[in-house]
Amino acid sequence: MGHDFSWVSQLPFFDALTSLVGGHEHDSTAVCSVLLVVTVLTLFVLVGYGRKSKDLIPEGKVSIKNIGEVIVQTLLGVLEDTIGPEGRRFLPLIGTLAIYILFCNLLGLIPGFSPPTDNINTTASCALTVFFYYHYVGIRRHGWRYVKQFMGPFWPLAPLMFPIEIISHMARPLSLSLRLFGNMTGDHLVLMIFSSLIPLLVPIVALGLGMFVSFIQALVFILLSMMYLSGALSEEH
Amino acid sequence: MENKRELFKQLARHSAIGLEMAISVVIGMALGWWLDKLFNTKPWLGLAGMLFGFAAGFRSLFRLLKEVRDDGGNSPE
Repeated sequence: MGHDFSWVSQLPFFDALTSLVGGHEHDSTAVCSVLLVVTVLTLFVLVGYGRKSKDLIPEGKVSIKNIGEVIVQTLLGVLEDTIGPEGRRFLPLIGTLAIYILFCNLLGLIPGFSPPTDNINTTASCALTVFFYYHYVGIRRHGWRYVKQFMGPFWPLAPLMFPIEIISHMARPLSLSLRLFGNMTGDHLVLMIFSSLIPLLVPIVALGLGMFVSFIQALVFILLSMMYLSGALSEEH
Repeated sequence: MENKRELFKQLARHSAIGLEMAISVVIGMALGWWLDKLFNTKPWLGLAGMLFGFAAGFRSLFRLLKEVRDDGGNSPE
């Protein structure tokens, strides 16, 4: 979803970025927004870790380090709730997805920016990562028996069950990416239409809705990823 | 707080199934069409793919319900 004008294109190194990602002028704003989000998050992490205090006592005021700790604590809690005690192992993947998608969504609320997640390529790449990873985890855990799960409980029915299972597993990354993409596109369109019709005060409603949708969609994405992971880990039948 | 988190989890889990069922049918049908083009058997494999898609959608629903049942936790017995 390219837009004719985006403030991203006013950034100093935009032309260099555009040629770097090899995009056309029209399509590249979302890709460059991705790069912007990644840059900001990297800075965030660097600043958080560059602080002098590495001790156990938290700083007395609201700082980047404290905020980061709250985020990680929450994510760990959700992981242990959903997957169980071994869920902590997946914090790097799930945490990255959560923070990345959340900030991508929130970027769309700043007037003039388009959220990177309203480009299907962004969401599809996240969903495909999850898809391949949970199969990898399943095969690592169960070996050959993981593939046998696709055959169903009853051997003569295996030719019937196999395509069904394949289709239902293929539907997962597609529904993950389409849900995020559709929600963010729709939300951004509503915001754009409201603010072009009545620029005064009315867009606040759409902004509030957008805030809600951004958080909910990031949460839904990671929750579903966690459920797929726990499904691959658990023994079926 | 704990209750609200559980509520959001259930909401996310159950709101996902609708899109997944719809997309299962679409994927099944697309695969069927592709195979039709490959083997030149116009409508039949597409229809069969659609049926497989339906079945896959209900397989997802079945799996979700089984997970919810096995979760125990806050469900009565």
